[in-house]
Amino acid sequence: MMRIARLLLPVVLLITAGCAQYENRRGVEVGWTDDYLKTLQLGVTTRTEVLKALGPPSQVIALEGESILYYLFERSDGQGIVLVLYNRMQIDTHYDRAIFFFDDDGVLTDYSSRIAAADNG
Amino acid sequence: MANANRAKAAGGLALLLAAALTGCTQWHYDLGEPLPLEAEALASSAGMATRDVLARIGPPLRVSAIPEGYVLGWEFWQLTQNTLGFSLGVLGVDVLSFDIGRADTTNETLLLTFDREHRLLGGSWHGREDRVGGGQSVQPFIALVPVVDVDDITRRLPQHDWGRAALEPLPIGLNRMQRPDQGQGGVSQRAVPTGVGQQSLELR
Repeated sequence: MMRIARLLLPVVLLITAGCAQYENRRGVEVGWTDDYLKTLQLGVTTRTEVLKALGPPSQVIALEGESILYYLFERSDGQGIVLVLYNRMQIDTHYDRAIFFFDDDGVLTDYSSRIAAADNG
Repeated sequence: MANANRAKAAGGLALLLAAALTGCTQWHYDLGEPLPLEAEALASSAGMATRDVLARIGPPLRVSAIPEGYVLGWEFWQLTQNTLGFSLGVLGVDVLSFDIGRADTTNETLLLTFDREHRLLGGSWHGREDRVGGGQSVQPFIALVPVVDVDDITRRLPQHDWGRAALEPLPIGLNRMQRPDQGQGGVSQRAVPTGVGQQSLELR
């Protein structure tokens, strides 16, 4: 009986082991690629042109005449192991984002963008 | 002799059962990217142009207009949630439900304020490790009450809900301009309670 119990333990652990993986995507399409950013010119590019190229932003912030367009794409990748005795989930969330500043005339004054490494790879 | 063997077998089965019903579950979250080393120094670099700040540390995660100009915020969080229990919680089978859990965070936050001329007025940086919750429970059959709640830390950034804010229930919708997640009423970090401050009128 004892021998059966000893044999049964790893079998039980084996058949109840598993793994999990998930991904979650939210936000706007990432259009702020290097190629696109090279076309931007401070003092020349207009808000209309940025909106036309990138589409509606995640957020618009009004600054007393000036304005900010904020684009965000959020992605979470989760991986996990289920060993019954020990279970672990690792969830990494990355934020691809771009921010564009426009003056009173709707002309680009500053911008910055980031696309997390996983997308570049 | 037979009784001794039977006792050993019973002990073995009990051990097997205990092992099968006991579990340790660990959730680990990385939210964003660590801030660059120079982030702390930037907080005291008044006069720097927005353009230079963005070139050094990239676009912020939070943005809001303020009367003097605007604020930009950067955050990085690591959250570890550990739960030990007599359960198969991760499989959805909580037979014996005795749970112990706790959650710890490591976070960095940088908040910079700029004037209308796009010059840095000042800022604040802090990094810390913190215990954000924990608890124990003994619950029959099903673990209905989680011993650690970290939903307010792991939730999505507010920009995704920006356009939807006007459709919130009245107390929340009426407070829209004061909310720190709408880009016009300041910014707030993750895990800030909504029952006090700018969102207290939302009656959540």
